[in-house]
Amino acid sequence: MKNGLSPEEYVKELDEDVVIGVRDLVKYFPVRRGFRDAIFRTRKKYVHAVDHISFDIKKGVIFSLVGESGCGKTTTGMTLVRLYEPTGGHIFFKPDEETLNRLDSYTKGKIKSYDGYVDLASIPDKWMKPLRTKLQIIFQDPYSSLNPAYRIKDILMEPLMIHEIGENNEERYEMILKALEAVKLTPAEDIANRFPHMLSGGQRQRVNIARALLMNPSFVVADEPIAMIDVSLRAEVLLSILDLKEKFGISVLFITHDLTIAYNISDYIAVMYLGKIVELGTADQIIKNPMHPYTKALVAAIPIPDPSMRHKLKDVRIKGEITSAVDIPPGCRFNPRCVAFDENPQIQPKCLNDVPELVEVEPGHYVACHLY
Amino acid sequence: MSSDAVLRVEDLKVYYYTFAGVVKAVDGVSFDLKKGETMGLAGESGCGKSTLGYSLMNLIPPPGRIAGGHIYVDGLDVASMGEGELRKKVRWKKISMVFQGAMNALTPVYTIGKQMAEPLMIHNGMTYKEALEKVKDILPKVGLDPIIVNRYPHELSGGMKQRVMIAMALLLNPDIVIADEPTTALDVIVQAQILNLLKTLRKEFGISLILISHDLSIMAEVVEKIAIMYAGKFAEYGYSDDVFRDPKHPYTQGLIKSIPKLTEKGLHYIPGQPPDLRNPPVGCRFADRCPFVFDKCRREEPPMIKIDGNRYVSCWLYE
Repeated sequence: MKNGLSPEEYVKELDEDVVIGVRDLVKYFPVRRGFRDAIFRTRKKYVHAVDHISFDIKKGVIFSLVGESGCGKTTTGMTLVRLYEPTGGHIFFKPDEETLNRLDSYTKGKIKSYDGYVDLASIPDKWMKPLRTKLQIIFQDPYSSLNPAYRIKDILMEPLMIHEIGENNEERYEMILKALEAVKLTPAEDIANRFPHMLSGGQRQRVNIARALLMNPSFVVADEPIAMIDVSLRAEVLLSILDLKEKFGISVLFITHDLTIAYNISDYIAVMYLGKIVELGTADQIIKNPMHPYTKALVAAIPIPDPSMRHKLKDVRIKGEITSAVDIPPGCRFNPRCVAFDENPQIQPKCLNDVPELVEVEPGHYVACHLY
Repeated sequence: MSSDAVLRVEDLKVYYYTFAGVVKAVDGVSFDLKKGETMGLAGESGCGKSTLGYSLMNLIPPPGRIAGGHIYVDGLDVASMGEGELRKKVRWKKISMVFQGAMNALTPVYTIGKQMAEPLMIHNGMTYKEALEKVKDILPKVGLDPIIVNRYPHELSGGMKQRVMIAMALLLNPDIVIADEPTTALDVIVQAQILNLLKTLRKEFGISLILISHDLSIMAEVVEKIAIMYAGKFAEYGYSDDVFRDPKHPYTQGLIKSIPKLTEKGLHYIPGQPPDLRNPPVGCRFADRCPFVFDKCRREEPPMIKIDGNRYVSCWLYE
């Protein structure tokens, strides 16, 4: 994928059915300087949470972002739905005709669209409202993302009222019941009248999915939606997320640190390391044929539910621990932990000086490593 | 039960006496653990696996307490011991624990060296200097540089803190180490490294390890024996090779089926929720979620039924 193009040129290169096209996306967070640093005017430091990443999410596809904590996967998700303002780059999003018209009248035509795509990165917050319904997010913690003082029906009613969806409250209530049934929370009437504390973690998370679904979105970010949920209830939540894709044709960005889950639910997987995508491909390509030394270590570390392997130690070929996203090493940022780096002295100068770009090694399988 | 057991638990009951009623978190559990053996306690949250782990050191916080049964460690009954005796004779020396959430288990205001030296000073009467030497000896065994004795917990990563916790648990050469969800908050690579470490240390120190986890894949990687807990009771107990290969209890079957795998795609789950432990149902506690439920299940509670030697199942199907 080429960088440094104008928005028009980027859009021209997007495939037909791309819902979200991310190009060269950057998100830095400033690090607060201490008193001494401020006096001596040391250079401002930044956390390079997301550092020039590009990928496409097509219609009706589940795209997983995996990586260790602190690799920038959540930041990417939050930026895509514009809960964070990107530092740079483009997020091309294709809303439907109707939303585009609403956006037009809401902003009095101030937002440029390119061939049906809008660049979310360049829209100011105050003009985002017409697009918000189309971009939804499911947060990690179902215990803090539902207001404990509201009944489920009121929690679900609020966004409908804000976005003026539905004629009156009776119609909205009907919609709420339908959404609850869609995520298999039945009997819907009973659930709608409950408070969040009367539901299990899995049920709460499905309320969150219903809330996203009510907005009739075209893109949903699911940020580690099962991390805080009991193992035996996880599958219910995952199946509801699969339904988003299969029944409603919604594209999902699924953020997780669990490769087994990613493999079971997604069509495509992107592996992130320190703000960069190091490998991208279909779920099978990434899990069955990992190419990047980091992905190889991740895949090797997956626990296997087979007790006959018990007497062996796992061979996870990686050194040290994740480095700080503030002081990124030059060249390939994985080189201090890379085993292949030690084994291939001939490529070391490249690893130390050049940032590797994503290269296509087989159709649809991209790796950012100087080995390839 | 065999004589080389380092731990023997007989009909243990741990209840929480809350205002809303008595929660029977552990309700009649028996097992024994041999020297050098690894045992896993698995189950959903709220099934009593952590409570069982804590009760083995008699560490149940009020309003909970051991309501019945015996826990024999080296001939001593931990269940009926007083606090003072427990501290002198059992905790750290006989049984130690790697607590859940290593991130929060260390004091942020003391250096690693100081907090690790404390149990040695109290239990073995060492001076601070001697204790620190011992600490420096043990750190390399868990893969840490002895220099970290001068560091504070916030200067270490999650994986390093977990290693410190493990080193601490080994300091007084206990017979039994209980690891409560030792890898829950860790990334997958660090998790694999910690599991590797537990496996090596177990051999090196000859300890018996009790691993508490909800993750059956982790269990399969480490333990020899496994107990599947459901609503305060053992549903199934046996060698993990057998349990994983041929699960008998319908709950175990459901759990094993619902592990996401890399070999085949598919998502499975056990519908329903565990019962309220304040007033558990009369018959089998799993009856409401069980696909094979029949009359007797709702009337009578199944005992632990012994099948082929070392395998116990609490299910009327195997009567």
